[in-house]
Amino acid sequence: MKTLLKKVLLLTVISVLLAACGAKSNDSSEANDSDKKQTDDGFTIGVMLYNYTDVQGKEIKSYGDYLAEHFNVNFNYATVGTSEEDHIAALENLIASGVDAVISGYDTSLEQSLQLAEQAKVYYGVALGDVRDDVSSEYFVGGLYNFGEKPETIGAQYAQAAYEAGVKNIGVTSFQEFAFVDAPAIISGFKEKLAELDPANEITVYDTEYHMFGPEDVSSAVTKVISDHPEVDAIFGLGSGMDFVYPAILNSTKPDIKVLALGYNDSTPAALENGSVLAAGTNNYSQIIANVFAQLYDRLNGHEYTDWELNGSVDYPIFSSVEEVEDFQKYIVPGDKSNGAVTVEELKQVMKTFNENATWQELQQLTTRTLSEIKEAR
Amino acid sequence: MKEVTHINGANARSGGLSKFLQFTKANKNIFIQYSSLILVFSFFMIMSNGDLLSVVNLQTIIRQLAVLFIITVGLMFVFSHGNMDISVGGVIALTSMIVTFTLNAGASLFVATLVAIVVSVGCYLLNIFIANQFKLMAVIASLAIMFSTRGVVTYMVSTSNESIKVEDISKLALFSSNLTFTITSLIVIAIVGIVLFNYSKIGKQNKAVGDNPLAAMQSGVDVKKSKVISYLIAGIMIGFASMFSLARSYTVSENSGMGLEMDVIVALVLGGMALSGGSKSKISSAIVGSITLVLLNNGLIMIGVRPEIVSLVKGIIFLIVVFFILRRPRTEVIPR
Repeated sequence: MKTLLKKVLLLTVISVLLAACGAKSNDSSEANDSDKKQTDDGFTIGVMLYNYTDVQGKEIKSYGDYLAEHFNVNFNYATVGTSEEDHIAALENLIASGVDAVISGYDTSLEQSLQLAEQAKVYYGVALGDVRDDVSSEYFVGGLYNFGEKPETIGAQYAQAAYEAGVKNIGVTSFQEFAFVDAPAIISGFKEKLAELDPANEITVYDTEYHMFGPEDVSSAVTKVISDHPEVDAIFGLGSGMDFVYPAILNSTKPDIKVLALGYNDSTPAALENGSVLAAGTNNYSQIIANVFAQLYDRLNGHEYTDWELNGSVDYPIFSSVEEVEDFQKYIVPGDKSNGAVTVEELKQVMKTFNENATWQELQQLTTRTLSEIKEAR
Repeated sequence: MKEVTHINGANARSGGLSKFLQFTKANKNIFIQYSSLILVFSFFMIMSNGDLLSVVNLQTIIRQLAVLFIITVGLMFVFSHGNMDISVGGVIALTSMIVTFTLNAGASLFVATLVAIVVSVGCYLLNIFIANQFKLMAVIASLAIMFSTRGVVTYMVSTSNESIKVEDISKLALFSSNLTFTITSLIVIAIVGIVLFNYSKIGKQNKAVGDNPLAAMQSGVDVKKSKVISYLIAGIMIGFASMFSLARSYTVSENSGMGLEMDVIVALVLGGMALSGGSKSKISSAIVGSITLVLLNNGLIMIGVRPEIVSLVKGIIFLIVVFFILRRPRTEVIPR
């Protein structure tokens, strides 16, 4: 009897715990009641990402919270697995929960996702990539070129940093092409710019070492570059440059190899300062969410850009000095988003709901501003 | 006289309580089995203000249940041996890919379904063949199958210029949008599973092998044959499930079926399954567990649990069930 009572007590305690945990996703602040009211009166937008614990996830959620404070909208954040089944299940669950629109990080199972969105009359946008032009739906607001419309220019910026640092033998590692479709263009831009900067051909860029997605895969690729080319003095890491390539180099037999990283994390400022990283960059997550949100919100309010195109653009900030990374922290990923890349006031000016003369092109101009342009605007 | 009646009444009530407690004790495992489902259901019903049972959400739950339910029922025959299979995600991915090629080549849905079953059965027979032939633990053999199948799919996806997807999605309409077919399939599979597992020689021999293979063999059970049959059943079920899986997304990628193996294990544990297999295994663990897991995943999004604590909430619920299970004798829980 005592054991039974203990179990009942345990169940009760844990149920209370669960009830406490079951707060709505936007209840991170103490204002539970006001958030609920806002949800009842406004729109709910579902967000689907692999996680909310890395820089990408945290920034997207943080900017979403900022938008929720200033628009009549609430966000329901769902963590999705990598498989198609997981993606579809998460979308179905969001739809069943009553969302009005969905921001998906990825174009996973896009046709089926759009079919579900259409059936539920839910607007859908892809945030972290562009989409093929053979998909269409009146409920689809499109995707985004996360590396700009010309990814070659990203490669060229890294080439400039490599050239200025004076490195001569450069290895390249990247996720497989099928998973990172912009990689060939970025690498191509990198090589072309170096060829232009170095007509005497003193700089060698080795063939790209493609790898899968785990840190161990990246480590193997780095090891292969080093063993195939012992003279290598820099690696252009396109597959999680800061999270995977940089630690792999530090743990390798040649920890003095310089890194050109597609990626950013908390180690970046120190690594730029001590010179082990020559350049790093990351997506401008505020611009990404601002772009998709503006379109979804307008559509929900019955507005649509007349000059709309399937894929919009955002900037990809790259920094190669401590000063630049400080600016990045101050103007791209600040804690207070009202000082960030896209403020609510700026966004409203290019949204049809608040400005009937607004155009899709103006939205793209706002979300492709470079770090220096954003700094100037503040 | 009145006092006597009162005493008799008190005795009767005391006897009723005693009988109830005895009944509870005797059926402890059944209560445990259903407790997770009841807990999850009640919690999300309250938190979602009843939206959990809305028509739209019920349809959603049924669609999401199809793949996991069929797989879990199929793999129950393998797990009841005390074996573990972690190749299911890879097999689903490979089967879906071959079915996609088959459908794109112009084959009918019936032919494609047969192909799915043949491929899946082939994988599972290879699995048990490796385990039997090299006297390996079945989980090791399934590891080999997982890597091989996942490797083939990844290679095909990475070398293909275009994404691998079903060109004419209307061919899969029966599996994707016909809810009557889905429900009927689930009911039929549940009935077949219950009959095979509880009332046929196959199920009884399975449980005997799970309890003690040597004793089972000495009692006249052909252990190898019993295992082959269980893998055959699992293969058929998983082949059929892969049709539902493909019909959910119409595409195949290197991530297809990823994590399904863990989902199956979690579902079985949530359903009160003793992973050591044997006579305590119940087919209802597969049914209850898969429903519980789908409800859990659905409910967490329905009520908008903050993403930071989704894993924590899942962990707590899992902990409750494991707490009850771990109160049972160690041999009932831990796989050999």
